[in-house]
Amino acid sequence: MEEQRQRVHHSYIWLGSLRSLGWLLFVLIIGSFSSLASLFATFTSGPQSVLALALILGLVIGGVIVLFGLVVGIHAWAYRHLWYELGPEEFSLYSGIFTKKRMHVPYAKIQSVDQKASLIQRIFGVCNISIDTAGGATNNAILVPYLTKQQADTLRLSLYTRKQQAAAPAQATTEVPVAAAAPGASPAVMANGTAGAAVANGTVSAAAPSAPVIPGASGAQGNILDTGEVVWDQVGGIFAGDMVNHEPVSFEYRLSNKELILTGLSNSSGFVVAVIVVLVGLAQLISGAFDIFPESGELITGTLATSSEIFGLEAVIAVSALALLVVALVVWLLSVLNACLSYGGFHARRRGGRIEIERGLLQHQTQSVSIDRIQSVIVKQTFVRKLMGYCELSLGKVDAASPEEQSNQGRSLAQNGIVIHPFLKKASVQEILDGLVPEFADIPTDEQKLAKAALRRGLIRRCLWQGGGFWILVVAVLLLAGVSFAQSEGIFSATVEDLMAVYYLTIAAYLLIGLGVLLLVLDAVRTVLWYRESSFAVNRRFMRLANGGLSTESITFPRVKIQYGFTKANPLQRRAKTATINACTAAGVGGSTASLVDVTEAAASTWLEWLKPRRPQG
Amino acid sequence: MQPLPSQQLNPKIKAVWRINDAIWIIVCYLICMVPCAIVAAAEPGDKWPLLLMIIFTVLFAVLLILFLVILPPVRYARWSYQLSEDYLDIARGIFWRKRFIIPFIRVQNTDSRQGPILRAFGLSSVTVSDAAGSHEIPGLDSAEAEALRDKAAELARLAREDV
Repeated sequence: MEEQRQRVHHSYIWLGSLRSLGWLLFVLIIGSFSSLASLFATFTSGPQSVLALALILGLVIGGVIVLFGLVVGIHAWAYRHLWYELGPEEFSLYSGIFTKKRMHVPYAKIQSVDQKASLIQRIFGVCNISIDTAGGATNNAILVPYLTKQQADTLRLSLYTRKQQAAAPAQATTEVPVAAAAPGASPAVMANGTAGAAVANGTVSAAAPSAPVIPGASGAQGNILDTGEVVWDQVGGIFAGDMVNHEPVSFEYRLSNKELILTGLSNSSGFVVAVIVVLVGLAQLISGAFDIFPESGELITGTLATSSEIFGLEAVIAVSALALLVVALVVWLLSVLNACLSYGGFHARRRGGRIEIERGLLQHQTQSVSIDRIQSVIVKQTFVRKLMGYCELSLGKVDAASPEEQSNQGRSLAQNGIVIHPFLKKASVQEILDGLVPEFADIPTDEQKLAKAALRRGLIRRCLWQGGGFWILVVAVLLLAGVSFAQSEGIFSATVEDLMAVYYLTIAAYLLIGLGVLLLVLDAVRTVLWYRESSFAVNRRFMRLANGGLSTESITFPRVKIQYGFTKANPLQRRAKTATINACTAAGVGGSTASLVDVTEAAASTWLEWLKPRRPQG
Repeated sequence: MQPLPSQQLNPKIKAVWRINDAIWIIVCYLICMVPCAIVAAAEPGDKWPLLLMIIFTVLFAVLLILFLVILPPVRYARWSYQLSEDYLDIARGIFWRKRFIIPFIRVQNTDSRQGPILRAFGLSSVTVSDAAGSHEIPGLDSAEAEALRDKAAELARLAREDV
């Protein structure tokens, strides 16, 4: 087995330094802007202004050049001390100039391998690879920067093959109950290319589809942005190198035009951003209005404000409101475009024993995870998507905290593991799962509904204790009571100002009441939906837990991925004979808990019984 | 519900809890009291510091009674665990009663730990961790804790399944 130092691509030196230089300049300019401006101001007024200006410019440019040299030097130095090795049992990354850092990952502990490339990196055909493991409090991913595409593909491939080799002897000696339970569905695991033998978890890969089977039903036709993706693939980038031969793809799909655009449109984060923009703008507008019309308070309260003044005010408000709406619309459209671009060129494919997701037209990202590392399958519907009958399908995996701030955007888009379909008809979920992860196709169906008392308890909990509407109502009623009390006590005098104050307070109170009632009704509807749609189901190998409401989320995980489970009951729940069930898996950063409030006590206790490990028969 | 797990903690744990909580409460009490006392000394005429000090003292007394007299026996009675062949079963909680099932094949590591208070009573605590969190059994006889830790580690070692 070759164990030699492998270096990253030399673009690490100049692309990396360009990037850090950009940051440095940005910080410097922001930091020293005011002092520079004042310098300019003092010198440009003098007689020798031209000379001084030239001097300053020369100094600045010289400084930048020196800085650039310094940064490049540091990167070149760091480059010399940066390499990785594929050892017989572990992957090692060496880095650091003064403090030497060596990171070792045993192949068997690798959770997933992600590949990311920014736009500039894509042009040059290089990318970053991050290797996720499960461990450590911070659970940092290991980042191998600036690999050529070919290097990256080779690395990913060899990581997976070595991982399988590492796992193979252990599986040969001991029977893993899960794999044994469904021989028909077990994945075809390709061994190392040199060995050439196909070995599955106990069964030979006869069960796997032979040639690439592309499903015709959903989105095989692709979409407009795929053309861009194809161009990318053909051009490849300057240093990309040749494509690496992978194992055959057994299942693959893309997004259709309709799906892509609707993904962007129904993306709630864009909507949230637009709402925030409107709110911020509104606050600005209000404070601005008080600045522009310092007397406006008196203007309104003074009964004899001329109509023209009022009209002017209204016109200003109308125009600014319109501008605000336009801005919000633009922001929303931009976020839609952003979502579309980030899902442009979306591919999901099953390749041997792992799943690969590729997406992003500008900033490219390839996520891959092997089947046995998948913690859960999550079907999520936001309110809008629920109305349309669509959902988002994603896989839970052990996430690692990203060591780079750059990838924040990618992280927020894929908060819960890997999105394997951003916009899927609810009815075709099963079809996709059958193709992509047949191991998870056996979803339990005998649903256990919530206890009868759950509706009553849910209404009380969600509408009263936690219900925003209820508390707004309380505040509004208190306000009204306070105003009328003050009036009856004669605290308000008969002056115009006081009358107007009472008037506005009363209007505000009624507005609040309206808002409160609206929220209360919404809460009630949400609770009834939650009661009717929430359930959990178990069968021999899987558990499914659904939480309903205006938006729904259903999560399926194998029993062997539940790290621990517990039931919880407070005194009121005990009186109503209900309990909350909680199943904790390792998905996400530091584990995540799926819980369902108020199932019957009997169901909770059978569930605990189900959770207990059982020895494999025989 | 199912019957509770059979094993109870070592009764000495109640004393450990009492001492532990008493230290915390006294520290908090002192933190609240010292500034008031200083203000009271600096401005003898002021009534507010005295009033605050009285409130803090009453609160202190109530907390002491609650945490030293009432809670420990209840907490002790509600805490039980059982180490079966394949899993660890824990029942605890006074208001929110919780029942944990922790399969050993998921356990990543087990440690026993002994702070100064625990050591004074000859007790140890055992922590069982898996990929999603950790669980502590607070007060066991040191020998018993060692045995439990060894057994948990032994059972955990038999694990074949990975995360």
